[in-house]
Amino acid sequence: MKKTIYLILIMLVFSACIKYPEWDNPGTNGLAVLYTNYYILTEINPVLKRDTVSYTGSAILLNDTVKYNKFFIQTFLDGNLISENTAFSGTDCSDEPNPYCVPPEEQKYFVNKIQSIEISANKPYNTNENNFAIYFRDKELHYTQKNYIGEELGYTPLKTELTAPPDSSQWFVFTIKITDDKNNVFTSSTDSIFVLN
Amino acid sequence: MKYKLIIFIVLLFADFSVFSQDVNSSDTNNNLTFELSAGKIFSPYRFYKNHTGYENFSFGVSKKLFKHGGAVLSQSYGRVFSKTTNNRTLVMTTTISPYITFFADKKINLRFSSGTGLICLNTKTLYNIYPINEKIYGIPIKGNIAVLYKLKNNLALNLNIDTNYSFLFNGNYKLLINDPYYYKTFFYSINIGINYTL
Repeated sequence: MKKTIYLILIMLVFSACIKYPEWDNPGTNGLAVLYTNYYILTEINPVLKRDTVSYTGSAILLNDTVKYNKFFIQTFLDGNLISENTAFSGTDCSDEPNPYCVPPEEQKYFVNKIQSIEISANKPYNTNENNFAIYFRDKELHYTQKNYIGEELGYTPLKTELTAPPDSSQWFVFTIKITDDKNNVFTSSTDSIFVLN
Repeated sequence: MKYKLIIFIVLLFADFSVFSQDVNSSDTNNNLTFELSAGKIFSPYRFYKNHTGYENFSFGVSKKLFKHGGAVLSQSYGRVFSKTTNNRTLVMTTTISPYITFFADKKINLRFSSGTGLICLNTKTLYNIYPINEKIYGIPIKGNIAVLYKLKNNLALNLNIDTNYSFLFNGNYKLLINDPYYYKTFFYSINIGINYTL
């Protein structure tokens, strides 16, 4: 009986401690290691970017004009850190003799679950009900469109593209409103932009 | 300051309860000992690396099975907090450990114990805007070294160092403890308290 109890205890301990992967050391081969820190959202900051092909885009100058399908809204998320990657946070290469050492790079992941995301223009855009497509970033910097209700906000920034032209070419200001599952509402507007149809 | 006061009050009550017993009784055949100690917890490892440890309370019942050994069932509660993430964690450990003592007949006794049980980590973000509270369980490997100073026949002062190296159960994704890297944790505490033998 005693032997069986000891055996069960040993099995429990060993079954609990299998498969614990260790991370690699910070980039010592010239490439930065990406690591994730987890945040809760406190503010959003939408920015207009030119070039929908690149995921970073390029800045749109003041009083610039742009065709509706040649720009996108990049919504940067910011907030409070709730879960810190203790393996990489605070590591740097200052004491590292390897000249190819690159400090690890933080990626912010937002855990707020989405109740709704509303995007609107300050004046009638066209007769369609939905003119916007929202794309979410994954860890590998790829953007995908997904059914986001009930999902976590994920990595910053979000990307929003216009899917249809406006009825007429004119100045627009776009407003993004994110509501999370705890009924927190985050709203912010872009600079104005002259959109060509 | 508040926590020092709490520790002081707990020890004071422990003293009252202990001295209110009939300590002249020499009947120690039962050898069932109640242990109460309080101290400070430390968390130097992995997920809890940047957490600051606060108070730790430990309650235990030990049974002497032979002259130099026995078993102790103990439960401890510790609290750690991270300023960086504004997370507070309650570390609850329940363990059963066999022990051996070295100088059972002397005034100062040394006791080693080692065992296992269950650890529960209740982690809470203190941001009102988006509160998250999650519990995660694991198996601790516990080691304890105690120095016992015999005050009376059935009363001893207990200074102990308690270590818990834990393997948390994997496979359940959580928001705060979100990577298998964190599924090993280590806590230790330094406590002082009283042992009362029935």
